[in-house]
Amino acid sequence: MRLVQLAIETFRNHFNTLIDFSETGNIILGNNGEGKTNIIEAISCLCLTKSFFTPSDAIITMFGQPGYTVSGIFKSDCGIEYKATISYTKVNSAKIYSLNRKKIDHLSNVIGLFPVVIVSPEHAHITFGGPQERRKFIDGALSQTHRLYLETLLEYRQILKQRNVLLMNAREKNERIDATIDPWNEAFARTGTLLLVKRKEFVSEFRRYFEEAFAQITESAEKPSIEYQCTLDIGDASAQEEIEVLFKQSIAKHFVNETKMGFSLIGPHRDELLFSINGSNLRMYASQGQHKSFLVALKMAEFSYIREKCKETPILLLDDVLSELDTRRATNLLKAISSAGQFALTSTERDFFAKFPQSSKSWKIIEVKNGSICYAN
Amino acid sequence: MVFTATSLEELAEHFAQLPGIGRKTAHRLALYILKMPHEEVSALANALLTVKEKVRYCSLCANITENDPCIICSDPKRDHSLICVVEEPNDVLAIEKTNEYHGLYHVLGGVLSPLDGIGPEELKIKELLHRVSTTHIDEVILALNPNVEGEATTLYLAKLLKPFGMKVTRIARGLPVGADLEFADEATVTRALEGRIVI
Repeated sequence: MRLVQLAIETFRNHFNTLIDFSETGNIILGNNGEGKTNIIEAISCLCLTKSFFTPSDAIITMFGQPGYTVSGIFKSDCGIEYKATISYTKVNSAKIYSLNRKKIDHLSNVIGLFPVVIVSPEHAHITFGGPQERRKFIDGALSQTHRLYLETLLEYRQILKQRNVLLMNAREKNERIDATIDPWNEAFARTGTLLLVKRKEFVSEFRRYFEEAFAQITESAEKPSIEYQCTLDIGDASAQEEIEVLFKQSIAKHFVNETKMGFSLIGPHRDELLFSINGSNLRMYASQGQHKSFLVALKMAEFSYIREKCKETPILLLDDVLSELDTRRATNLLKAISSAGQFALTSTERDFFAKFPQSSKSWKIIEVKNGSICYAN
Repeated sequence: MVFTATSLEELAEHFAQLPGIGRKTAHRLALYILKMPHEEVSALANALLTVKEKVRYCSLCANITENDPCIICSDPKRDHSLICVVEEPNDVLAIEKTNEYHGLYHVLGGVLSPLDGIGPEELKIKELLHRVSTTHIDEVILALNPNVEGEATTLYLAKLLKPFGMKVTRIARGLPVGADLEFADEATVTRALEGRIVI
């Protein structure tokens, strides 16, 4: 998938911006606060129906305006054009998505249509932050590639909410819930098992893409690894039926504790994805640069994974990724992405790109100043 | 704030409390009532009161009725050994319209949802169990909506009903009639595959 043209209206500091993109590389240049990231954010709104930055559409809307509109023309790998528009109005906080002038009923149906991989300083949480950030990473990659995973995930979250209310009642009001929690346990185990099976499958497949990407960017002997850590004791079980049985046993084992705590203690919503380099935990021991390299490799691997699963090349959006990488790693990254497909990259350093022969030939340089495009080749 | 007449504002206020009616529609309705002939208005007022006075819940199936037991429960031509469990009276109408079902019903009055404070006590579950233990029932069909709460309620009821020894079934989930396979979403197709039957 490639983004050919983007039109942004009253979005952050862009009043009315029209950009024609190159189908290979796009370098978005500008000083701090001029509106580079806002362009990346607008693309993410169009591909994922929401910003990767903030959940609030009111914040994204330009100050004093009634709403925003982002529209774009996409071109699939086989050359078919799609015109997509997302518009938001503050008054009734309604978001309407239309594809080729036809309204899409559920926003979640858009996920996966225009596959995209975003790397931004926001994503540093994946390696620095708590386990929920890493779960979000897995969920994001799987949701774009496996529709049913997304549906199951939404179902699981609702079941979890209901189940937690019962556990909280048991804790606060001393209610007896042995019988009433039964059907929720059943549904919890069924959907939880589906998520677990898919996630484990994902990690074991993903590892190959990841190790490749990491080696390409770092050119070092560092050995990275990713491991899925389950709150359930499922041992080596891999068959769905087997895991479901173990899941139910685990629920029974933790039940007393759960009623004491008032929430669900086990399940995929508490699992962890463990990152390490040369056997030591990334989160505790790695340097800033190692974190960044790890993150970029994760994202590049996500790119390859989505491309293979969706049979469509994702659009790669890189927001300020070069800043913490040394020159060699940054050069490697640019080499890797330039052969990958279409990318858009924001940076403050114009001189860095002069070294790349492609930059003068096929890459497009877009300069942003105060919410509008002041130069484009 | 009263812009017109207090009684009109009061009426509009009552309308606004109804589900699906906003403030503007409430005002429009109130003004319309004002323009209606006197006899029509009093007929409407009567209808409102009558519905409240006459309609009650059937002591057997908990459906809404004017006569207890309701027409369905007291119909000798229907199959009294078959009960279809539904969420709301609306669901009875939906099934009755098919003209294909000739058993009885049991209206639960909702589904289990701890988030909304609805547990087994708030539903007509005790009544259902009383019914199956005191009368001869061959089969109970669970026809609840296929969402998270409906599923949990189905599982809950199935477990309670099994010990009584009758057949417990659930309605099929999957593709709607007249739909195209290619336009169905993945979850629906998966459910349809799970629920496939031998022909």
